[in-house]
Amino acid sequence: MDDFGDFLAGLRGQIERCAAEAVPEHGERTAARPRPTRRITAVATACLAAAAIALALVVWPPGRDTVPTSGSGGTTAIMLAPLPPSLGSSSGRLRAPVAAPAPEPGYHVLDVAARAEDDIWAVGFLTTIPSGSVATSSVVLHWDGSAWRQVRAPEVGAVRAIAVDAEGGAWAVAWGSRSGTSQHMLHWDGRAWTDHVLPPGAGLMADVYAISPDDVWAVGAKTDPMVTRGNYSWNPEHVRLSHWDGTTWTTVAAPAGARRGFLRSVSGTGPADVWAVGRRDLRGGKAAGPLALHWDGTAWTRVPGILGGAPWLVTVAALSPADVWAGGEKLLQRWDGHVWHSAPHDFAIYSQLSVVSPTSMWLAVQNRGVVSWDGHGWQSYSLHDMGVTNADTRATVNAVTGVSPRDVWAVGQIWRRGRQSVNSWGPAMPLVVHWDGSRWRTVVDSVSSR
Amino acid sequence: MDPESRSDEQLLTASATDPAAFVALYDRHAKRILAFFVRQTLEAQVAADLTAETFAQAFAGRGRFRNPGPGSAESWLRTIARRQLNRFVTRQRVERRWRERLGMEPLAVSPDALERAEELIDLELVRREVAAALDGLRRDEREALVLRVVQGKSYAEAAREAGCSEQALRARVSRGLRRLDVRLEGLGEDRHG
Repeated sequence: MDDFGDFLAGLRGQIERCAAEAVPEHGERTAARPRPTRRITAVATACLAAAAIALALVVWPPGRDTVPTSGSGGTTAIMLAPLPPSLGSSSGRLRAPVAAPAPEPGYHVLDVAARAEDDIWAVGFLTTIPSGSVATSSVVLHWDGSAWRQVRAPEVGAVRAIAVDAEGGAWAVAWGSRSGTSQHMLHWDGRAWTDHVLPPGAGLMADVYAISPDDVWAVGAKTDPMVTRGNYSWNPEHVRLSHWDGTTWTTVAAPAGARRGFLRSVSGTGPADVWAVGRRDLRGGKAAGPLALHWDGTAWTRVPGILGGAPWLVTVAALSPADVWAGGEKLLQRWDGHVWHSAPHDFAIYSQLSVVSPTSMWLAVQNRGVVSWDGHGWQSYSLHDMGVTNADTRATVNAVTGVSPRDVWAVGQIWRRGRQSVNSWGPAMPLVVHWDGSRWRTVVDSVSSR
Repeated sequence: MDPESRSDEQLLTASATDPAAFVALYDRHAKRILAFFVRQTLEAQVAADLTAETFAQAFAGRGRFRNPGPGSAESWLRTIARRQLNRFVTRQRVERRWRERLGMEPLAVSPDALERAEELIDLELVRREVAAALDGLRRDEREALVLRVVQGKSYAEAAREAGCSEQALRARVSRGLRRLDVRLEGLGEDRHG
């Protein structure tokens, strides 16, 4: 039920608020204290954002029970931010009124993007439960060549994707569930992060591709309310493409025949070679299968010929105009400039591919770890092989990016078995691992409660 | 009194005058109710909405609970949940009536949960129920359930084998499961025949 944890905690917060605001039905003994949940959440996240700047570096004790096979005998854990319990106890307002087991906070690192070996960004979110309601706050991390640090950024809730341009700028996509309809984008101009809101009707974005400070693409979908016909109910979705010209975000129309559906990933090799992939729908909500769109510098066109075999594509990555990979679920296709070819593989694709060279392609495979393509075959690195998990830990790899074949980063989250019972797991902690060409090393796997 | 040591019935009765006691009841039952809906609908967001509506209705009606004995609070909750499910089955819509009355905002399930909903379903349990009741199903529903639930194929794969669209297969699976629910739990007449 882990994927419903946020929902259950959120619903608990709502019920708690109803309980606090309810007029007791028979009078005197009242628990009713009007508690504006939203404001408390805002206070809590603001405190966190401020506290998160405090950094500390500690060394994780080596050899807990097994020395990681690929480790050097001890992993360095960089402490990103204090855990919230100190926050809870420092302010009486944040105490939950009912003595229930406190839900756990959790870090999730969802995406990573590299411009150079000393300039890498990762994004995700931190959930805290200050008063029973879930507060989701943005997490933005940066690697400067020597350490991962949490960077102050405007609070936009969970951040799901990030892209860097060649000149050091970066764009990140807020998950967008906070307000429901408006899409926030975070922009790094080399000095600070700022918050930009896409115009109404732009839809919600899933991914971003930054070419230069005045040429950035974001893709996603606009979802309509549910419609019902007979036994079928569905939410009609409309493909959305947004472009940043250095000053404003503008919605660009999808080509005819590819307006229904959604886009999940965007990438390319420059201003006149951009790919976007997702799913195409037919009138009436029926899914028509994988969708691939291409931008040649002047227009978006639908590129047909991609095989079925997956309900939709989740990732596209290009090395050159004649070497493009696209994948989703069980489907992996390679574009040679003229046609798509199937690439055999035995893992499911749910995350972004990272193509470094024709002989170095990388993919995060959730709880299976990381796989790479060396030009001839697949190399698989399980989380256990990577030295990340053992009997008392489990982890998920959400994204991977390569600077070079000998400099690859993967991010995700890690859980440790709880103290109280063998079946309980501690809160999700950030996970950052690095490949140096011969072995994986865990760089971040915990946070400080200082 | 420590909410941990109180029975469901004590909590629910107390919640009429001490609404906070209802939160403790939620903590005990939310996961089970959600799991029930996920299993019955195979749709993460629908299950989440039904769960929210169930607790909203229970909260709004907590003053009307009469305690006939141990276990009655849980079966009271389950009755509300079943009623919500029945309403969803017949109308294909999740009502927001009670949530709106209480001023509760819609809660979205994370996209991950939506995509992985099928992994969260207790397939083993469904598998047993399906195996026991397959004969009573329509042929297309039985085929869909065998492919998806018993053999554990993805919707895309199962749809290819059944020679129908993925959406049609999803509909057959959920119709079939609802029909099983009707058979197994005696939830009134089948309106999808």
